[in-house]
Amino acid sequence: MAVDGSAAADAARRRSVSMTGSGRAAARILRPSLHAITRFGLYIALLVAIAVFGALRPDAFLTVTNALSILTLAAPLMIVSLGLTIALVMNEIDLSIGSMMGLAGAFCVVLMSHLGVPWPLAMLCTVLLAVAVGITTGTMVTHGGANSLIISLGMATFLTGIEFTLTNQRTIYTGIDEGFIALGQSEILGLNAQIWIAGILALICFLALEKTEMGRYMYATGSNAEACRLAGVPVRTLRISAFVFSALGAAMAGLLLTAQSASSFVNVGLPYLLPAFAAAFLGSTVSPKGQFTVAGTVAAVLFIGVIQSGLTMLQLSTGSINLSQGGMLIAAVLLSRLGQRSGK
Amino acid sequence: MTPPFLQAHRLSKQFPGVIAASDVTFDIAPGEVIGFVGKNGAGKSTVVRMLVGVTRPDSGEIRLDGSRLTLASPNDALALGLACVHQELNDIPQLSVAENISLGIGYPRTRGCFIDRTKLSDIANQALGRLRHTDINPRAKVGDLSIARRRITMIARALVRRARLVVLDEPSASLTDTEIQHLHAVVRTLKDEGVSVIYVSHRLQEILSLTDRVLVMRDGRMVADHESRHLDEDKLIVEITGKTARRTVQTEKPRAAANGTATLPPVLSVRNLRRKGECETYSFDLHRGEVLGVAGLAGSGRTELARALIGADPVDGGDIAVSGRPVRIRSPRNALGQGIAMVSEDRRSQGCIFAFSVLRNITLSSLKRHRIVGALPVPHGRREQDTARALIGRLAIKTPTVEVEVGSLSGGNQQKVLLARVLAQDFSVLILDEPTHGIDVGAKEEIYDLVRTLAAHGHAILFISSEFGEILRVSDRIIVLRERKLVDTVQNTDIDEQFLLERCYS
Repeated sequence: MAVDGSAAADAARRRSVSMTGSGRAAARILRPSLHAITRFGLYIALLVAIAVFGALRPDAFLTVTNALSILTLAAPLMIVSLGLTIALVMNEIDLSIGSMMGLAGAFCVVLMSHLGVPWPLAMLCTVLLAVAVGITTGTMVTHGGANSLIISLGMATFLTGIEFTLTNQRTIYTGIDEGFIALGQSEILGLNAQIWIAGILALICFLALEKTEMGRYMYATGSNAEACRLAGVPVRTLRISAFVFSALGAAMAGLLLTAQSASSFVNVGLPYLLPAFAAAFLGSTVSPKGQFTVAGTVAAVLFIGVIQSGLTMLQLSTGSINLSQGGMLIAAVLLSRLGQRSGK
Repeated sequence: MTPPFLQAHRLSKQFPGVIAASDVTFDIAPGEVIGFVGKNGAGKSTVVRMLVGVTRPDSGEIRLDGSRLTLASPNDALALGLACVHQELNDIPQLSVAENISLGIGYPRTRGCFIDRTKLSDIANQALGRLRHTDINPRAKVGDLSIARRRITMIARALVRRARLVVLDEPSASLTDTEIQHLHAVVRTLKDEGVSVIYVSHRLQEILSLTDRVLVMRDGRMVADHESRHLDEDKLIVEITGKTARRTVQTEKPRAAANGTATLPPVLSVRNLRRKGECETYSFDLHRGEVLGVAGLAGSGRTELARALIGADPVDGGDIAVSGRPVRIRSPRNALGQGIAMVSEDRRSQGCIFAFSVLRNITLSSLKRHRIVGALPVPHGRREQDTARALIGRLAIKTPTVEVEVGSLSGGNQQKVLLARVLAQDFSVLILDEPTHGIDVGAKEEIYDLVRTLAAHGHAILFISSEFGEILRVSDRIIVLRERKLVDTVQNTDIDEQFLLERCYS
């Protein structure tokens, strides 16, 4: 019996060795198709949403103008969600992104309008402010050992406090440079500048997370931070950078919203907080292991954009817009979960 | 002998790329204690999981009292009296002992509404009493108990569910000798009560002394079924590995460090290293090409020494010099920069990145060496694969491809993946903390060979282990830790386990 066992095992091993060549090729074809099934949920939902709205409002919804307007409106959400995605990859939660958006817009406008700072310098200062905010939150979380959920919640109130102090809660629409406004309103090759900025940032984030050492370390840290620390990964620096990236994304989004409306109004970012989380989590259903990815987040932001635009066109009441938006979000997540389970 | 009540007939289970169990047939009589041995990945866990309803067999059947069973879940199995105490405890640490013991059968209630604490404790006391462990307080929180007591609590839970078979999966892992004695007493009590036990363990001595029968698995097959009294350790090792025994502790003494090394400065020199409550003024030298064993009882400060050395925990003082140069090590990253690497004893929580493939686990610490071009921090996929494949071959890691998740490998192979991670980078000092913990005989041998080979190539190795046999087997010199103090440094010549044990105690 013992002889039988080892002989059979040897044969199996030989078979597996000889299989590796063709087997790997087969696996390469089979695996993506399997993953495709498990990853369909969100994309099906996106297509269904487009089809339904297209059928209901063919002349308004299925137009190039509307597509471009959806993309333009989705751009700020895309940018803030990208920053958040990087933080979530490392298991850090940043609830201060909404307030950071508001502060960034107000800060930049106050610099331009009250102090006459040229717009590129004002934007640079805003970016530096975001970096400082991110480092502050990150340091409190990593060195203080505090929970990022509650620290960033406190930070949110704090940042809004700074914003209100700067603006006295007034809308500012004077003294804003044309060059700055162009960032939100001008068109390049027929596309709004915001679309270009969001697209380029998405590409950069994608490359950073999927292709670089930093991205690899980030996913590893999100999976097992202590193992990473012992393996020589600079875990603390990475965790601090998580908050820097989420603050930077929020600041960029806040700046674009301010540029688009050519004014700084109170608390511009708050309505983006929950959709940003929704986008990142919805996007995570796209990956087979439920990981946060740039591709997933981008798809989810487009899905949310389509739904918002479509429901607005149907001229539904706010109540029914909320109902359908929430319902579709839940349906998309459940659909992809079912797909993942059957794929196992 | 009483006829068997439980029969497994030609059980088979296949996972993608692996035949986990093939045609496994055996039976169990009431009150029988069965040892279950085999290498990691031999299929022991799969068979156990099929017995207790966690995994469904692809083919074959389980018969209980002659009738065929279909177990859809662990609950089905429990209801029929088939219980399992898993190695990674699945108790609820926040609840009390009594609450854990009665979990799942419904708590006794007063006025049909509130939990009857007195009665709940009575049930627990009764079960613990049957196991002769009345020293465990039913009202204590399980999370506050030692691992040994938590295991016994889980066995009590099985008793309350009227278990006829209790599977103990690696129950003696991370237990002290006294605790193991208690555990064995519990197993004998179960036997006296007519409860059958399947005892899964890598420790062959306890298997031989405790069990009535031993089942050996190899490559998914049941290759032997012996009565324990006709067996000895060497014979078991042959059947587990499928090779003739090469286990010759003591006779095969490692060569002492090559001549001339004594004149070079030690590659690692530690003076008065201390950390409050964990290390008290450790001083020792480690030379090129030397294996320095670290012996000590559980709690003597072995792991604490390793963590202090690589800067995983901050130290309160002391000097470390690498090749004569004084260095300050504040983090594991610093340590790696100085060429000091460690493989932790806890591969689950401090080693493996479970979201990653085998490939990415191997190259985690050496990504800088796998760049597309030097200045660009982008890993070169092809080069990573080459490294991973080479190390998989060198360490004989059993994995279908480099792309499978590391969690799908057996414990021994996960351990090898972590060794591969270290070998993929440059290092001069390697700290191995319990590198053979919970892995099978064959893989242990391979790790001993690897350690000696690395030393022969000029690396210095600090070998921490709770098994004196393997320390004596691989070390050139040995330091002994007792109650967080370094009490002795001895040459590994003419000493034996008895000597080390005495040094650890007195």
